[in-house]
Amino acid sequence: MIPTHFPWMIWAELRKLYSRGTGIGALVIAALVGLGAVAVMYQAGHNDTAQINGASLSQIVKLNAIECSGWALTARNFFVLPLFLLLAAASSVAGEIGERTLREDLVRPIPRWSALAARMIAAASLAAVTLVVTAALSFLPALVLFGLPAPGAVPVDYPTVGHLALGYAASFASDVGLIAIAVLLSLIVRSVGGVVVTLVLVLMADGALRGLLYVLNMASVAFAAKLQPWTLGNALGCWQGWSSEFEPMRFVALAVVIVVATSAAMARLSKMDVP
Amino acid sequence: MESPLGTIESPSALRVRGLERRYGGKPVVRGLELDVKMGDLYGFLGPNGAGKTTAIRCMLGLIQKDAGDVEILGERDPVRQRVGVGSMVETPHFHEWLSGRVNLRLACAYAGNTAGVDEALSRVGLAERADDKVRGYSLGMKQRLGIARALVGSPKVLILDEPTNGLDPRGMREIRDLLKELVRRDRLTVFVSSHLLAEVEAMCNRVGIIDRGVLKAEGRVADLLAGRGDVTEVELGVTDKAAALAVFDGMGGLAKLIGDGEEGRLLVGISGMDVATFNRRLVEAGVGVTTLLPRTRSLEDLFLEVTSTEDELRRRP
Repeated sequence: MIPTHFPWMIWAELRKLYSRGTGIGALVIAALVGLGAVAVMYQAGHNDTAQINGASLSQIVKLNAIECSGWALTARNFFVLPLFLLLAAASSVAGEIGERTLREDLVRPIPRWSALAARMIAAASLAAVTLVVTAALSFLPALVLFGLPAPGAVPVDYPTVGHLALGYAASFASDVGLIAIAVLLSLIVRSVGGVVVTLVLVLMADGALRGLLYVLNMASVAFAAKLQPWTLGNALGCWQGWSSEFEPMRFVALAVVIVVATSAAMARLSKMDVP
Repeated sequence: MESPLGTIESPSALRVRGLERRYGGKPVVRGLELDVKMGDLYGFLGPNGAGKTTAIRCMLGLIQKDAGDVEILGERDPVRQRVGVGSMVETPHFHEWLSGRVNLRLACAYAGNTAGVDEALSRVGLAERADDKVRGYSLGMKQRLGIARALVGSPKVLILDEPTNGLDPRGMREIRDLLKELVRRDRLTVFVSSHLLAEVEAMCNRVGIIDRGVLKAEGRVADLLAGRGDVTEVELGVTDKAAALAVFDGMGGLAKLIGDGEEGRLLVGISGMDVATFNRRLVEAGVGVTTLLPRTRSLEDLFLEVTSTEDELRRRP
């Protein structure tokens, strides 16, 4: 049963998260990524000297707000932000196990799963806020500077603002998956560093599996193509199809990851000795 | 100290039955039975490694128990029973980058009761430093803040593990007075583990002594210190020892010589009568009584007695 004071528990987790270095750092990085995308696009769009395959950068780069915000989304998801979200989620569980502060919450009249749920909701809010910050700080300045793509100047299947919004929404789903995994690993390895190292190892193993499936697919092995969306990396990368076409099976795989990781984490915490 | 509510007739605030916990197959708590009455200031004593903290962590649901029951305020459901409980386990830990006040508000959020932050800070003497970051607090201040955190949420039962750890003598005295006041004025029940025997003796009305995971003694401090069962030990100085021994023989086993006292006095165990009656019987028999000292044991004596092995007891002077 959900405690009646569950909203207060979420408030407590938000209060902690947004005053931690990882929470503040994630917001700063999200802002920098958004503004950085505008700066990079502006620079590239006015660069006539650098050439790729005989065409100057200014000819290649499409100066418009959708493209710019898409760059920001890619930069956000491929580089720093997932690490910050991972650290934020791991700090609130593994970090608090190590600091002996989780137990102070668990001696209160709450079911254990609710402490985990409050932490996951707070971390998910950080993911949402960073996405909004990146989207706003990339799209709005780019809209002023470059505008939207002119009809007829881009291919018919060129992504629209709606596609972009879905891309950001899919990124949020992907972040929630990452948070669920971080929380589960936190309860297994019980240290923030351990969570990062373990996830890196898991993703490396997943990369090897994806490579193997790719090779098998090239060799026309029947099941390889069916299995490909079900690897962890592909599930977490479900947002990547935003500018062309989403792969529904990746979202199904991501949903499975979220449900399994969250259930396993809650089951583990319910039986765990908390130091 | 005797609480007005801390009597045998009071209902139980905290009852533990048959509590068992093993670590790696090794029993740490074995069949622990505790009965803390409403209004008790209960001292939970035991040597290092006796299982005190493990028992407390089981009571609070922080670790799983292998067997047994814990009932708090008549409630056996592990979540509902913590509604009226405030606790501090070992050294308290905080979100160090936040202030003491914010830490208490976070605790309130989880307790489901946002009242009492300022009052709790005042009661432990931290009101003026409440807005400082906890990382700047001394160990003693953190200990006080831990007690304040146990007080938020309007608890009826406090479970405190070594609450005076790290405090200077003045701080220990203040916490002791605070706990007494919480029992007397606020009608709280306080369960406190400690290895400071003098402190427990000065503060608690009832104690339980645990050793190697087993409860060795439990009861009112006054009763436990009065002697073994209904036997009272007295040091007796008389004008004629032979006449006194003859009187003992005539008492049908109610008085027995059990050893030598200080300065040539006799050490006598009396049962079935009080010291005044014993004195009168001697005087009526013509024995001059020069000294009659009921021997009181300290809690330390009792503690060593019940927690020592037979070898250790034999080695004691």
